[in-house]
Amino acid sequence: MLAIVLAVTVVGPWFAPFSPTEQLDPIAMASMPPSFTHPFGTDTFSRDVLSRVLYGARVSLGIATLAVAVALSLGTLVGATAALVGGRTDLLLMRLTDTALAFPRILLLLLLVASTGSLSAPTFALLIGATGWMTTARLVRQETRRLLATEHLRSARVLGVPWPRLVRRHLLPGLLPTLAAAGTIAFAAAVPLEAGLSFLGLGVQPPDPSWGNIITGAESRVLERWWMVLFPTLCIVATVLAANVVAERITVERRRRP
Amino acid sequence: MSRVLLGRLGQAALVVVLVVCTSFVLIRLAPGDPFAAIYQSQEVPAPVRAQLRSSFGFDDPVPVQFARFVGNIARGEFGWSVTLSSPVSEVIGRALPNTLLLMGTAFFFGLLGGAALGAWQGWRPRSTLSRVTDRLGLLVLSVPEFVLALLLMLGPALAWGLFPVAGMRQEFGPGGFAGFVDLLHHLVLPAFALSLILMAVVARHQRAAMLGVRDAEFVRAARARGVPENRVFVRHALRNALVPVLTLTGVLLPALFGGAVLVEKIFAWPGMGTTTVDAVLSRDYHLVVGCVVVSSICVVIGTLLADLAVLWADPRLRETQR
Repeated sequence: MLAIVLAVTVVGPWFAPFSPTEQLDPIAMASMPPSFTHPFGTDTFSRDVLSRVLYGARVSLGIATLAVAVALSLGTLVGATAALVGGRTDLLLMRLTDTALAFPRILLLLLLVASTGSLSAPTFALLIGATGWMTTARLVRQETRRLLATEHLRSARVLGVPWPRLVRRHLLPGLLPTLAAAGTIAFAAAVPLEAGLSFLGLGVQPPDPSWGNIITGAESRVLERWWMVLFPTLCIVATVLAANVVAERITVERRRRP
Repeated sequence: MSRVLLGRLGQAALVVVLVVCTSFVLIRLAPGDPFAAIYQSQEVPAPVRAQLRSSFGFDDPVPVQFARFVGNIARGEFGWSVTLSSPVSEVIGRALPNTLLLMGTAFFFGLLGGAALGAWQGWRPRSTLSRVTDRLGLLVLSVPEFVLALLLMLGPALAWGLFPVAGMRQEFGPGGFAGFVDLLHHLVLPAFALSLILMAVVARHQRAAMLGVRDAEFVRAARARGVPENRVFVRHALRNALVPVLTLTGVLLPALFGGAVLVEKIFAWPGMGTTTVDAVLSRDYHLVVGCVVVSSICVVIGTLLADLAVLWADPRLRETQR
């Protein structure tokens, strides 16, 4: 299911019947309910909602993916450092992680958005990633500690394998399953966050489409313009559900493994 | 026990200090100032703007501004909200109780419902209904709060007209008991949106915890002694399975608050979330900082209380952490 969502994201825009930003006829065709030419209807500026949803998938999921990459890198860095160095560094880094976890992510993002004005999509993705590394850090620390205690890594250390090589060749491959799990979890958190902030008008700025800001197009008349709410909403739920199912599978697989 | 407490307190204090510093830095980095936002046109001549800035202390050296900033926060004085033309502390004083009401209700029903559902699922993991609700739980878990809120607004509120769409009270509504009923009527949908998702999260963890103790020796021992099944369930299994979920509460609080921000905004619930978002949108910096600082202090206090509850509930933790 996640594969379907991703595939649609990649090839979707080629099948999009209209340009996502073209205003077809702002007077005659604004806010039209779904029809054959416009299966998802049109928005208040007479843009085709299906095309906007398809292009928005690239924007929304692109941001989420970049955010996950940032979160994973930061989290791995913090988590692995804590586990490898140990001692006071470990304590300090984990206290920092706990502190960051105790703070509602959205407040920090709101603060950042308030102080930077309107954001470009990559910056927005960086910010989401920079506020989401804590779970990864904890998982990676735990797994690294477990790996370090295994025969395999202990013998590598005894044999005098240099640190960089030890980390690259012996530690990172072992961490991959953990990173996969952490990544899907972070993805399932990043998609709604992006959509939510864009919905509030604080993320991706129109005319660029994002699943969040298409919903905003319905403004206060969501009942008469239900198609602007329903379709992007379904996309969000389908994506997050897919990510959650994958995350659960990975967790179950990992637990089954000795 | 007291050392654990001190550690937790220190951590909480650290969060608050970090929040205060970050908000000051970010506000300093912000482009423009409130006066640029109000007087966007060129109608206000530059000297007048400069005078406005200096009269509000925007041109003092940075350390002076920071000292004033910290001093003011310590006195509960967050400055003046330019867009609402009233002191920030007053705005927050009006908004905070509303948020506490909403989140308290959501938390109560979410925890209670989630724990009950999860406990039952974990106790009878093979039954069809248990499996179906577990799948449903994963679906609900995948619905972001604001999406659920929007859907609730479309269905029950707008299409069927069962509940009010927005706000907290009817305008010029009745007072006294009728007013209270009116308030509850407005509370149902936003609280439901928040608590349903919380319920799904809690149920999943409660189910796992219950599965963990289901075949534990003390449960089997209780059965072997002939303790009735219902009593085994409540007194022996559930009591032990509740602790991990209690621990979860503290972790969930920040996330629940994040959801509340969006849900409040959608239902125009006049709480901290709506206030914060509006303040960000209108670049009302003092209000943004005030809201963020007060909200994070509340979340930190909530997390602390949850930790305390865990220590109280599980004597083993008190022993090992001494």
